[in-house]
Amino acid sequence: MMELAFAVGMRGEPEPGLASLQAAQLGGAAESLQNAIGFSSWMKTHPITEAMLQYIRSRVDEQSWEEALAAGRALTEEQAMALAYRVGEGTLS
Amino acid sequence: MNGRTFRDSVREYLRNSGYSQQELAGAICLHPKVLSRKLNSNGNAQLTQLEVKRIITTLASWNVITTRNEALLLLDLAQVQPNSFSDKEWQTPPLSQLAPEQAQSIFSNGFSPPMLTMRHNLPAPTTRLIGREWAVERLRHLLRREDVRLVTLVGSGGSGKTRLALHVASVLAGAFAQGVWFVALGGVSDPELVPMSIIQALNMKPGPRSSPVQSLTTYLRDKQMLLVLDNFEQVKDAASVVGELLAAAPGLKVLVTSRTMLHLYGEHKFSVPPLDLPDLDVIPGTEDLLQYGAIQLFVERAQEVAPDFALAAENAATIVQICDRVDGLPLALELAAARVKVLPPALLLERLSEARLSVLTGGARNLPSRQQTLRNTINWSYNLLSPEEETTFARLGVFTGGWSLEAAASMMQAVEADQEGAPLSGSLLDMLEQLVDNSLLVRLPVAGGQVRFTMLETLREYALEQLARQGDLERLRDWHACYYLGVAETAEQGLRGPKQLVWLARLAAERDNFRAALEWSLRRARAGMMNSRRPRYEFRSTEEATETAGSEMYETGSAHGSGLLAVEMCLRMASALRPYWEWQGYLPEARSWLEAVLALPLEEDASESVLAARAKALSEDARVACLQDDLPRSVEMADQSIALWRQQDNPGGLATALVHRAWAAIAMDDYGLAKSVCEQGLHLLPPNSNTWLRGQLFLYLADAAGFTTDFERMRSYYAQSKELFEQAGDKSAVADLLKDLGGMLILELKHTEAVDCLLSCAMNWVTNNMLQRV
Repeated sequence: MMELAFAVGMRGEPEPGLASLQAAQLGGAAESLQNAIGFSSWMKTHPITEAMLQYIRSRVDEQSWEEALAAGRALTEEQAMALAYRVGEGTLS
Repeated sequence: MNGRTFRDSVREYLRNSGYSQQELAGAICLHPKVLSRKLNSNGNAQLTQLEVKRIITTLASWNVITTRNEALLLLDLAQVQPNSFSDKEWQTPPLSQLAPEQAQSIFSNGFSPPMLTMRHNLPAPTTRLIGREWAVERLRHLLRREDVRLVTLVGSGGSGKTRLALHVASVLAGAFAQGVWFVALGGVSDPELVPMSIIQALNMKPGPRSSPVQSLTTYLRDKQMLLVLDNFEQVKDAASVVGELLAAAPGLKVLVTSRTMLHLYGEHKFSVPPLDLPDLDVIPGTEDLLQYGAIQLFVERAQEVAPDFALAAENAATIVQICDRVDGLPLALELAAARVKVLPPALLLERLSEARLSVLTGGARNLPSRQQTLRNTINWSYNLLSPEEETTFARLGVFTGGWSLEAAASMMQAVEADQEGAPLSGSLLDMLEQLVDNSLLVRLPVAGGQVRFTMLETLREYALEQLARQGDLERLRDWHACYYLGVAETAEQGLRGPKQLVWLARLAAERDNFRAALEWSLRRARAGMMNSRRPRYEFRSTEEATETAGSEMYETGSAHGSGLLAVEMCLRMASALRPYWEWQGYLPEARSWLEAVLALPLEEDASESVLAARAKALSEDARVACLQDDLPRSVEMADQSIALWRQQDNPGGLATALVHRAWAAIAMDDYGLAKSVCEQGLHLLPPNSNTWLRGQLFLYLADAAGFTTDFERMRSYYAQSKELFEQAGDKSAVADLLKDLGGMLILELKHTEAVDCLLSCAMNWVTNNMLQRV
């Protein structure tokens, strides 16, 4: 999920701002799932991905980013997977 | 129109479901900015009635709202009349698919949107609840009161507390936003394990580094939920845990069944009395008699085993006396009624009266009268069994939380072979069914493709007493531990193969048995004793054994019949269960067992098999520590394991430890070391052996190559790893690999390929029901 968040955010389609918010939502979901399960993704701390995160985040305003992140954190596992599909498939189409 | 609370609700629904406002705007044909103004601003933008209706219809079509009442509530909040949807609209999808009942919150303080889906884990009842209507009504009211958060159903064994609690919980399921959850504690003897049992019943993932209680309080603090804690009397020292959870989670209510109270502040005691009985001196007509719970239960149960049986004027007095003789206790009534098939009521009453006499002159005299009655009835029922059935019933008491037909058959074979006794004259399944007919056993739903049985805790206590009296208890507990070691080691391989989900279900079904076996062996090991018996079956097929890292030694390390040291058993069992604990996210449980078994001292002249078992446990502990981000411990354990394996000729064991060391190295950004240990591992293993393990080694080689931007090698290693995992049939490992590959493709700046790969990974998880791996 965290990986997908980065991939969607970096791809920046169909529109960079929306892709950033989708990435934030996926990232929020990934964060709460990983906290629950106990796997900490290397993507959170790797220098390259840190730079990517700044880039994805810079495309939207602070409040929208935080809201999307919070919305992602509130999702259940099933809802998070449904989101991943919608966002992932939307990005590819 | 005042749409403020309607807007709040819609935003809450969207947030909880993962749909965006933009998607909603698209669905109701509004420009996203216009919808955003109408839903978010305090200005003049108002939603029209048509827009409100479209929003509700869309939420229904997305299954974001699932009940008609949720739709009505939204209409009400938007101040739109319910009849603004025509009858035809209500009868057409998606509105027609809304359930008529609503999951209504019973907490009236503040607005709380209904949950999207209602959840529970209540087992389906096999019979209807009899004679408890008033109790259900009173408990329902009690639990709906805001000031009541802990209710304890108190009653003697066999009084029907569990059945009543399950019924009340099912009635209240819709009243709690996050549903009702049943936690069976009958198989738990250590109060320390209560929090973990609750976690497992909730199917939640504990925090990797938090204590189970901390994980629970974090999880429960914003939930509205009813927990049913069944059979609490044997873990009563865990009462403080219940207190902590209630203090931390204001939306939590707890319904406990126990023989004694918990003595917590705010606890409401509800005594579960026996079923109603008529006065022996004034016996009413049969129709009136059937109004009494005890009579009704007896007659219904009797008709289940003898369909021709009926309450009639001729047998009414006898039946009243039978019910009176067993004090109207539900379990005793069931045991008695089960015998109607072979004993006519008059004879049944005569036998019961004789049994009571014999028991009253025996050891049960000091028991309170109701317990005496129950014991008397169990004893009577037990004595009516054939000698073979008696023996089987007592032996089955060694299982905790249920058992499969295979396990029972294996136990019978092992014991008979040991005693050189005659094998069972009939089929074991027939005998088990016979015991089910006599209400001494319960048949469980099939789990992991296996037929399963269990017995009520009250009856299990009796069975264990019989075993102890016969001097068989210790021997059978040894057998039990050996048997479940075999299951755990076979399952360890099974989890890495094409039937991994079947194995996962089997492991989950045997959870209580594993714990009991681990506790028993640990106790034996601490006492420096030996498990006296080896299981009389093959641990696994030889084909699987050749594929197993670090486990081939078990076939050769100790000769059959020579006795298996308890310390080796503990080490092997905790190691074998690690993949299961990891899969389920039970990391604190894994860590605690592994640490306990690794703390056992070894003899100076410990055998090779004991040393191998310790080496494996060390490397499994390294894996768990790495998952918990405790990297120094992970490295320490892996290094100790590697050193121990190097003293032995076991390439598979050593290569497994090297895999775990490589993982810790990657987590510490030491890619050079990761590469080197993986190469050492691959060098140890012949090309056509250890398929799965070689897959792991290639996986970490690929990760290390990716992190050092050697993308060409990385792709080649991932491809080799994937091929090996596919050969082994391990879909879960393939999904893990796709996740790693997806991450690396991001580093390679191939984002579209990364999305594609990660969606394949997600698809793999979903189609294989492995959401927990997400």
